[in-house]
Amino acid sequence: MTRSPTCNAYNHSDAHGGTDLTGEPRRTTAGDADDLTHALRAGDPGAIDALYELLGRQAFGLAYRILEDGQAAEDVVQEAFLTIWRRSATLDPAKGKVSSLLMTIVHRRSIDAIRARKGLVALAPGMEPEPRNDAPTDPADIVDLSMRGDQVRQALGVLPPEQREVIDLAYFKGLTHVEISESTGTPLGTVKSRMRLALQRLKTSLSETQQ
Amino acid sequence: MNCHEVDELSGAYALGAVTEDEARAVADHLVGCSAHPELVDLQSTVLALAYSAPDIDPPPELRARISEAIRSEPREFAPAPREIIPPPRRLFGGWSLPRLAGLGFAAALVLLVVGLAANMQFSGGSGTSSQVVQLQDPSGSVNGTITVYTEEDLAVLEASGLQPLDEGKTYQMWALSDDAPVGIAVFEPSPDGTISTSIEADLSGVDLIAVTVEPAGGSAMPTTDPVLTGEL
Repeated sequence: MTRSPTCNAYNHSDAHGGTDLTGEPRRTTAGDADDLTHALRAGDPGAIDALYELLGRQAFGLAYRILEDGQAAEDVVQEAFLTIWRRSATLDPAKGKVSSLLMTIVHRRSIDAIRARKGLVALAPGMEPEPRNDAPTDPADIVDLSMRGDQVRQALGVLPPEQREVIDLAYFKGLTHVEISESTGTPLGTVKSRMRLALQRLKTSLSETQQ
Repeated sequence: MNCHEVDELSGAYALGAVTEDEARAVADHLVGCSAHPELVDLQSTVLALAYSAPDIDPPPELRARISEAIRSEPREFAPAPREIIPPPRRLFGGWSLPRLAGLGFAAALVLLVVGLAANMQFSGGSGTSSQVVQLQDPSGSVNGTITVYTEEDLAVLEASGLQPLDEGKTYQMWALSDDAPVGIAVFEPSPDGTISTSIEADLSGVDLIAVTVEPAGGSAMPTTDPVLTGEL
């Protein structure tokens, strides 16, 4: 466990998602989380506890990355888990993985909060990418969750800075391509092209690392 | 929006970084076009970005707080099918359900319902988690639906063929039940006459949705006859 140089109040987990009491790396998989769907549908509160054990650090890390406010991040994460619980009776494994759903809710709520804080209008409902089971490369599959973070960060790291910037501004700052164009002085067409190209390259990188 | 424009916007769309009009235009295009498999790939890739943030240990008390909260938080289940036996009765402005029922039915549903991401993850099991109501239009020029997600206090209006309004006018949507009509949204269609908008409102117990033309900003009570209606 290391103290983050950029975050004084919270501990960043190590690259393997923390350690258990034996000191062994705590490795979690998306499958672990998604196996909880049936227990969630059955209304087992312990399934939420287990889901938190598996994804709590990732969820809080994502919310904090966007909000840069510990209390606000806590609120978002709590609401995301409560949302999963409230809807748990109607969770449909065929329509999405609970791990992807949780992280999508955390992202969406965080972006809503930060846009509200900045006085920006909320993004239109439905614009959040939908987790897809039929996607050829579903990142919620296969890979170890902690390794997934490493892979994605590595893939982002090799993108040209301009492409990494538009991803950061869109995904973590919640800006639209128009807002990015205005704030960076970059032509709109260029912003759109960078977004598309960046995601194409990310997809290729992630596909290669999973093979 | 044509295929080229959709492709051009695919990255921004996948990232959720488009304007509301663009999101609607892409969604409309995808209803009748399957030539954009890349978009699914890009959306899937965006999901991976959630894991690029460094993991951070939350405060220990958060786990306990969530655990405690869920134990007092009721779970939502698909609602039982609603019994629809609307008795004839008068509504505001001389409207009545029989009169409104006599309005011409709009043509078939043409637009895609764009829901919140979370909406798409849940099903009602028996398909009762949402109710799609086709809107009735006396002029016959409007095609539209309103999809009501009762459990989420959400409704999604999708329509095309709406007439442009004079300056200073707006469309206003009302929820009608035994009580006085309640204004739940004002909206203006795109220049091409389409509208796709979400409305946060608890519509449980509501019998009728109606749309009137009102002064800009909306009215406290309806001042004109409805141009669209839909019975829930």
